Amino acid sequence: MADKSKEMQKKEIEQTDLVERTRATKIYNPDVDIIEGKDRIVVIADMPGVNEKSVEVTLEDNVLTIYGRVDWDIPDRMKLTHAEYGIGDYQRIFTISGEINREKIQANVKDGVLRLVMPKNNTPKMKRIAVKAG
Amino acid sequence: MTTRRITPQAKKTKDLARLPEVNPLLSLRNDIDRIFETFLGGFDPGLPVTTISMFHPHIDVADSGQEMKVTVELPGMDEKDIDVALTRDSLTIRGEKKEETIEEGGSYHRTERVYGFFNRSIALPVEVNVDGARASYKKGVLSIVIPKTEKALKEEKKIPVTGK
Repeated sequence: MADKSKEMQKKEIEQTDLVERTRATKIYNPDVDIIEGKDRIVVIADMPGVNEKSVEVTLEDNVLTIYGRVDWDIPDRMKLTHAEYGIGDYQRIFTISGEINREKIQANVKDGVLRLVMPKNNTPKMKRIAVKAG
Repeated sequence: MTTRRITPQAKKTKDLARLPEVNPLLSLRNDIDRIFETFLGGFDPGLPVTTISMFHPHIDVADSGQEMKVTVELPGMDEKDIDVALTRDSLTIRGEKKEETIEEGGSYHRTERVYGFFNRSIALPVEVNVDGARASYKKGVLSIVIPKTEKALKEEKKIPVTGK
């Protein structure tokens, strides 16, 4: 079963030219699931170490940005002796289509998982135009 | 959160004794079945599924001298689904991360998150006080604070490094 197991290694963002940052931490790309349903699109992002106060979701034009701040929670008196995951912030940027009703996007965080529910506009995609004789 | 000792679960083993086969055709069929069974890597649905690790959660260990703090990234778990077992020299964390229930007619565009069972054991570098350990699950991170035993603290000895 070893080949079936997925590696959970965090992916560090390499591009830093987007914004000048004021925090001296690493930034990771959170793992996401994107599920499209009949009338909504759900984005689920794994961001361990983040709660509702430390996550920011912004929508600018068509660009949806998820940002999560993770604070170092190892007390001063402790030394890290073994490290497999890096402590750092999360950021991920998506482009959303006009299909989404931007007024009704909902976000919530529970147990380090951000869940964005984006309802679709329920305007019919195809409009039938009556053809008149004459 | 349940903190308990885990006793190893007995695996179901197949009955190895072969029944006397009379019908040659039936025996050939059984042989072919057996070939397929071994070819599929002995896939056995009777195996307790919790022993299979689908992913390895990442662990950090910090040390203050008196105690150790083990943190594990486990986003989106229910604390009831996390099992922490501690012995004097090892720590085992296991559980199951449940898959999202997808609405009817829905489809995935991306699946990067990992689900399933995990089972990880780490050896602890010193003897620890099992009864003094505390575990908590917050913001998708499991932290376990484990005090070292007094004996272990006493035995720790600094060796001075001298130059020539």
